[in-house]
Amino acid sequence: MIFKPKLEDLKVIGYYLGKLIIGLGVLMFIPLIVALCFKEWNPALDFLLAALVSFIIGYFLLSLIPRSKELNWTHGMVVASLSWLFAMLLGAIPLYLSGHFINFLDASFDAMSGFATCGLTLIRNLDHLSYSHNIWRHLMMFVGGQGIVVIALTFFVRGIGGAFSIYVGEAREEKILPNVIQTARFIWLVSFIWLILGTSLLTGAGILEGLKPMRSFLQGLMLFMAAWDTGGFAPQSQNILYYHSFLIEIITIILFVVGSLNFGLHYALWTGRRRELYRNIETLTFFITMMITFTLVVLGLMKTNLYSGNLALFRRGFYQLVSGHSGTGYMTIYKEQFLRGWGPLALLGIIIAMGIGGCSSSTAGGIKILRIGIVFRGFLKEIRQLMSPESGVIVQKFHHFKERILEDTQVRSAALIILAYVLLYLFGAVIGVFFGYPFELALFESVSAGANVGLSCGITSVEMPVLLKVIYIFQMWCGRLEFMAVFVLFGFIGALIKGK
Amino acid sequence: MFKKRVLQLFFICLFLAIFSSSLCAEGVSSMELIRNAEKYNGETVTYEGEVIGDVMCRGEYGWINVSDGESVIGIWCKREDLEKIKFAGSYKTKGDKVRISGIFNRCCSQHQGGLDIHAQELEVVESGREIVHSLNMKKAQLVGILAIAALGFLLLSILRNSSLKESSEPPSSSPD
Repeated sequence: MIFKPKLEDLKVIGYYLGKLIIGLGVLMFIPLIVALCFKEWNPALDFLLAALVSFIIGYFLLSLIPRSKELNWTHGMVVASLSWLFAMLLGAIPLYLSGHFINFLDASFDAMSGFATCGLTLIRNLDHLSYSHNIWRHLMMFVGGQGIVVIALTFFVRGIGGAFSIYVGEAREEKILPNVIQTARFIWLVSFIWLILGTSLLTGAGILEGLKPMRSFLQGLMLFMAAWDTGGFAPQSQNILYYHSFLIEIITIILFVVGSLNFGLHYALWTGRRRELYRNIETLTFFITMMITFTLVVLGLMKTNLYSGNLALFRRGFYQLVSGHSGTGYMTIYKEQFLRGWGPLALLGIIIAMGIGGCSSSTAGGIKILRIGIVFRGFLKEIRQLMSPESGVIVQKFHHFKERILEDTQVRSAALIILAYVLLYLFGAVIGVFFGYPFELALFESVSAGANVGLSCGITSVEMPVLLKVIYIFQMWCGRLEFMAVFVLFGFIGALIKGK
Repeated sequence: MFKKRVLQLFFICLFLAIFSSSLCAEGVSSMELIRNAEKYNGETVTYEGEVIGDVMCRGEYGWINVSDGESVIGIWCKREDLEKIKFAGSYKTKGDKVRISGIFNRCCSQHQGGLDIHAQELEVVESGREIVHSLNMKKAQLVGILAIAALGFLLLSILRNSSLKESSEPPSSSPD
């Protein structure tokens, strides 16, 4: 029998949702200040308007539900999944008001792409967008990469017992520090240190490459936010190709690779445990999968004979691959070039890399390297078990911040999530094929959306069918939250309707 | 009869010549170049569009990015050509419209595989200008209405919270 959620459950969800929505409204003051600094009056009104709508909804919920009991597991999951939908709708308001989107759906697409650190975009005439709107696009990535809930835990919510459940609902399973709020604050500390370092490097590189200092700073800041959070938005429509700069490409590669590493690994390095870098199952698997997929890309590109010279292969082939594998989506080629020149083998390499994604508890999306590593070790264990006497017990170990014994339950749950991702990727691909796109391109774009990468082969455009836009939004949302919170939300809605 | 045929042929040739020359003058679009990169690779093309973003000088040469409304292509030009550009397109400016004649590269060997045009000639065909964005009064009015509504809900939330606090507080005991 399914139990119908009580009014008290809805109140708990509404209360925390209200707080998160107010937090989102406060966040819009950052682009608002940018708009005022650069005398962008209409964009300033856009952000003021969107912030006020957020405050109205947030305070309306809080005036209905002034107090709440603590969150349980289900509440946390529902709050996490709903907060991302509300963030999309509210974040889309200033984008839509900018006049650079043909309808609110397209603006919502970009807002979800921003928060989910995907990078696919439907914006028109990006090169004439105001600084404040552009900062907002990148800020959404910065916030979404850390996690909207992580922000709330850090700045707005104090001492809530159920904090861990919404934290997990946002696809973060590991507590780096004993307390989840301390963990959230550590994530922000690391990000702010890299923000200063990354923005300084990119600003310097921009000036060296001929940009004016203020423009270089703003572009450096935006590029950092999208690189560190493995997002993929860029301030100009040509993405990274705009700069024609090897130096900026190198800096962004470093930033998005570091951003795709587990925050636990950052903590280990922070506390002097450097050996973790080459002992951890994630970094080892990352290296192996990178080499395998790079081999595919190189073989594919050699077959088409597109690029001559190692440096060209590095700047066009390796860059796209690492960008895809880390879940970033920065591009140094035109999206049409994937179709016209890369060939199926190189495309396959990129699709596999995108599908795998970065490390767990990082800003990256996709299946996650840890799960690939665990399933591979489980596979090895099974082979060893088959080759040993029946009475023999095989113990498979792996190193992930400490020596761990591989449990069957770990392998099973990792395999289940991998299966869920594969189905999500195929689902989007089938819909793409239904609308008449070739299978390899439909799969490419679907994996890019589902794994929150943002590389595009050209399907994502203003002209694409409305249903496909909705499907990609769903894939970005599902992929970012890693299914659990979304499933719980669906279960909760089902219980509301059918429960007794 | 023969004279008539010759005359017909002459007019057809004349029409074709005028038509093809008008095509050359218009140049090719960015999407045409990107989609048919193999066909245009190494050819001299004429490309026209608005300079957007930044003029990036790199020694004797430098980069501009030129948008024709469909896509944007990077142009590698001489510094003296770059100095002709006064406006680059952004939120507050419409960039100079330039016509470039140069070599199109599908995978430029000088720039490690980039798709670009190496300009031989650059001409500013239309000067850019500053864009004046007048304040949208409808938006401003809406902001005013929403601000009052938000303030109302904020007060309501504070009142509800304080009334709940009062009701949950234990009655204070008198000193005597």
